[in-house]
Amino acid sequence: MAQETVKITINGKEVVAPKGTLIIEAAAQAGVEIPHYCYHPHLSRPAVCRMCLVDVEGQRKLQPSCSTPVQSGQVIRTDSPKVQEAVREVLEFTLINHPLDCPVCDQAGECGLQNNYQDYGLYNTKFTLPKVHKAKVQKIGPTLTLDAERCILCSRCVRFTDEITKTHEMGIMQRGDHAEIRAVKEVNNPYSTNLADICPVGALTQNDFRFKVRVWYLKHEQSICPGCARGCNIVVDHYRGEAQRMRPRNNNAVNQSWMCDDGRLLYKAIRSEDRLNAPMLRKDGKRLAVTPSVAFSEALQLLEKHAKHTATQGSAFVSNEDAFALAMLLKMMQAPVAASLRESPAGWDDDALLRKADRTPNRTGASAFSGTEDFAVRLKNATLALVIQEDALPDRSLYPQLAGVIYVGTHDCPTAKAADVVLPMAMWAEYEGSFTNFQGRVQRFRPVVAAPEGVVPLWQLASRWSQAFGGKLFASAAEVFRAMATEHPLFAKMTFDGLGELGLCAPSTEQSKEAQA
Amino acid sequence: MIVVPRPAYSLREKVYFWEIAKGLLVTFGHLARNLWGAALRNRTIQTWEYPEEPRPYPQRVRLLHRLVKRPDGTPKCVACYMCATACPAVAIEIIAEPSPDDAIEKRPISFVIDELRCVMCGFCVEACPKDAIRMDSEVGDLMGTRREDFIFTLDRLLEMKPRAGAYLGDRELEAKRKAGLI
Ligand code: SF4
Ligand code: SF4
Ligand code: SF4
Ligand code: SF4
Ligand code: FES
Repeated sequence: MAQETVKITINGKEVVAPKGTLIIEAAAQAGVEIPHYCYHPHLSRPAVCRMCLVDVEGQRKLQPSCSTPVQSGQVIRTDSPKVQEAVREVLEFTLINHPLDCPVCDQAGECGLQNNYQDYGLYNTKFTLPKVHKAKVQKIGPTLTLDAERCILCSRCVRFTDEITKTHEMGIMQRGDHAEIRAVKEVNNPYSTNLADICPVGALTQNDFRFKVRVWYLKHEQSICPGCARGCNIVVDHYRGEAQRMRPRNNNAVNQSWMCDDGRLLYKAIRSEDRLNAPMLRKDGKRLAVTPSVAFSEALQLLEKHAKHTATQGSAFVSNEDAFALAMLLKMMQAPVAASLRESPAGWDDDALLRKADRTPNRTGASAFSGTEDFAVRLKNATLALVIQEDALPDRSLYPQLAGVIYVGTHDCPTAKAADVVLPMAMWAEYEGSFTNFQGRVQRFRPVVAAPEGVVPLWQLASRWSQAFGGKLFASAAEVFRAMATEHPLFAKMTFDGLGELGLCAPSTEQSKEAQA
Repeated sequence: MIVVPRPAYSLREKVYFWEIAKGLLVTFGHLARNLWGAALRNRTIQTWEYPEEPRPYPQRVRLLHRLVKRPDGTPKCVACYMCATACPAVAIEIIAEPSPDDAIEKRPISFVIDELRCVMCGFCVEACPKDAIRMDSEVGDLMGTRREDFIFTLDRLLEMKPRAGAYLGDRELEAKRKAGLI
């Protein structure tokens, strides 16, 4: 169905927009940014902040562009002296009781007030009365700090808790210049940290990130949250080679503009205590750290010796490329395909917003390259166990015929402790790859920080091992993806670069069927 | 666009020797004057015999940093990172933490200036919104044999004494008062 479009003119430029688009959205598509506070694409539009006023020809008063739909033939100006004067005055009004805490305010650097003041500042206060003071530094929940004085009453947080989480924690009390944002109960919902993202000023800040780094030092990388099967699109902010925070990135087909609180803290696993940083061999019950090449060839010897009798446990935590390269290795070894994927760790149920009970990021992708038989069944007639990431073999005494156990994973666990060869692998934030979410959407994540020295992703290990069996050595994740796209319909007609920022769905999957319907 | 023509050389300039002789005349003039001056103890030489002959610092000199204290002795700095951001030499390293006093909110848990990296530009002082860092301590010539001697930590910066005649008021408060904010 072709959408009806209308033609409008913004700042003298002709723009074609679908009918019903808001002026602010049409302008954004045309590259004209209209300052705004209360408007948010995924919340209702109360038009309370009045920052987004524009001049529509034929209308005597300025119109709020966040709640005015485009109409055919409209001539809109966002840069006329009248608009600039109005915006400057709105901003002046907004700042009347603002404490200007910028030196201690964690929002400084990404603050809506600071940014707009650069363009529309008055630079000279006319206001001489004492400011109204409000409650500062309120710990309103485990994740958030509220400073009511900095609030500009845009009501985004109120609408988020009313419309998105439906938990109704935030409210605006009193009237006039005593109007004050308050948490009417503890803000403790699984999506609370989104409030810190949508608050355009420093009123709501996230406890975990508070005072850690000034935001202008941060570098950003697009990625995918590995927390559950949803695969929320995120940005990882990093500084000096360390991930500092994760925040959501807009993808209407997956997570709109949100992500959950637990997902946001997953960057901590990258530098956690139990991270495996160096390869290890087990000799006489003791673990010895060895160089990567020693561990690599030790494992290769085991694989060569037991090739056909290897039982493999794959993982839904690794990327599509990892799972595919592993499958290729097993094929070259003439070993049976990897056992069925293990159940996801418990903890959540599906909820109405984002979280999926399946807390693995890539079950759809990884199951495309694993079998249906249980690992325990496979182990019965195997002499070598190859375990990827999962704690699948904590007690190897149950299988006395096992001559060796190879563990490839990111963190230490009982299986790793019992393994003969432990090879650490890179985590999602350290390499390039793709996850397939529960909808069948293949989404790319990118390297944010460097992996510990000598640690490489699983696909590299697998493809280097497979060389010994006459397999192909892949040079890059893109190359693995190319091979994978020809082998499996889930990735048919896709290219690694073609996945872009928002990912792609194969034609056979649920979502594209939905889209067609 | 303005075109400035090159000045044309006169014949005397082109011959060159006369001009060289003129230059040497100036050089030897200085030499003669200094020899003469030294003999008569009436010095015209512009070189000082430092450190035996210390020079008085001018009024607005930038000396080593110090951090200003609040009346209760805690640093006035709120760890806003403005100075560290402005510093062209990346000499300042700050780590922030929440202050136990909610009215202050944020404070440095560590504040380190590497005085060997510092180029004494004074940008940090200009950038500070709290008037918490100043370059008016009594130390202008720091000597040391190890790198650590030049690493100024939070405690060391707070201990630095203002030099005689340094301005001791609170510029931040004064600016606020002037703007009618307090
Ligand atoms: S909200 Fe913005 S303007 Fe207000 S104190 Fe924080 S950074 Fe400064
Ligand atoms: S706390 Fe932030 S999001 Fe909520 S109303 Fe105030 S400014 Fe808006
Ligand atoms: S004086 Fe200049 S170089 Fe030295 S610490 Fe301050 S800003 Fe940096
Ligand atoms: S600019 Fe001033 S208040 Fe900010 S961190 Fe530096 S010394 Fe502290
Ligand atoms: S963004 Fe339009 S009124 Fe707030």
